[in-house]
Amino acid sequence: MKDNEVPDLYIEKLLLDELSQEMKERLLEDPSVRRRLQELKAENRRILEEYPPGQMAKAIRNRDSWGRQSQAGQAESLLPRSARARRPGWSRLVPAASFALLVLVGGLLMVTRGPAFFAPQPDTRLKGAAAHLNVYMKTDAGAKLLEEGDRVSEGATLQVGYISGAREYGVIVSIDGRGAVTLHFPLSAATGQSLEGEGEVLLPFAYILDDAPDFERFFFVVSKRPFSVERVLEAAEALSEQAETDKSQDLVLPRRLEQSSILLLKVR
Amino acid sequence: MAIDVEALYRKYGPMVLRRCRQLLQNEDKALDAMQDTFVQVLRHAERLTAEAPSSLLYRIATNTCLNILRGEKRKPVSGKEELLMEIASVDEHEERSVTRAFLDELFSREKASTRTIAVLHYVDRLTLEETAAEVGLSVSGVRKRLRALRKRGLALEGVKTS
Repeated sequence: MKDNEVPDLYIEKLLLDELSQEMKERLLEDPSVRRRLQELKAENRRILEEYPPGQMAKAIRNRDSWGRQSQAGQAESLLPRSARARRPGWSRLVPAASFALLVLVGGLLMVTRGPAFFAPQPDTRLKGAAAHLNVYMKTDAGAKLLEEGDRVSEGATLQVGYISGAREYGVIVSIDGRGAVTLHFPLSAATGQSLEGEGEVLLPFAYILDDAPDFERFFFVVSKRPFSVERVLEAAEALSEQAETDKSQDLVLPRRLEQSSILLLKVR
Repeated sequence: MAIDVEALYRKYGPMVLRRCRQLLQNEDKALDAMQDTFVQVLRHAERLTAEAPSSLLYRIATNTCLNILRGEKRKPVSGKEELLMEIASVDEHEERSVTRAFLDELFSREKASTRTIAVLHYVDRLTLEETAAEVGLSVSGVRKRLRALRKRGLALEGVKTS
């Protein structure tokens, strides 16, 4: 060890009990090593609290699974993430998706490509507003802005828009009552996540609800700095498997990321 | 060899995350790199041995971070970061991807990654002997690698790391 400083790797090994007894005893004679050891133990506790083993193991397995699918030539798409993970044959649907209509078998939504079905109202172009989502439902008269807890039914056409609230980066995902997770913005985890600036921005797709039961919940995660889209998807995936809490709990994400959501209840 | 990911993360996750934080200086990127490190372990589980998992994970994490740094254009804010970026930029396997080469090396088909050796010695301040022990090479082998790296234009000895 140069500079008489014990390298971090050796302290790590000491903590993991992966050093020879002789080396261990020699290092522990040094008070600064004992102090660093205690610091690492405390930091380990904080890390395992902030990033719990159950969630991390799941995220790692998912990442492995998606990576293998990607290597097998399956492209990113608008398909629900859960569908990607659970149905190996989903890629056969992708050629059909190049048409104007993409039907997600067993997923949550049918996605109609094309312009939004209405233009945002002038009064929604609020300067300085906090970052939030607006979800509209198509009506005979135009569009109705939905609120938390509003009821929607199968076949309803929804349009999602956002106000960036001066946040430069964002991700929009949804979870439905079947546990399917869909990435709405950006279009894939590999594309940019820069939000547009002032006023309301409508996503370039309208969504037709399918027969997923119970609820549809949209999340908007924003930050002034870039962040991992995969992280948000993994958090949504984790939440989607908690049937008791997925209608009310926040996504488990780093504190610096701000999030908001809107819950829509499904009626038969 | 079947791997219990949760147990592996519980034991080694904090060390790996700490390593990624140290090299990348960015929480999100560090978390991504940490997960990628474990993914690589999962994908090559059949070739893993139970010996010194901390060394193996530390080296995988180091290389994963070097690959991330290699794709970055940020301006280094310290001598250590400048050194890291310089090491990360070394193209030691022109004919193949760095990742592929690293995995080959890691799982004993080839010799240890010179970039990883350089980080252990120049950034982590391990002696030649300690570096050699970590990567399973002789001291003269490590010395040769570092000399070859310098010949390729990396003025490592001239970079201040404080």
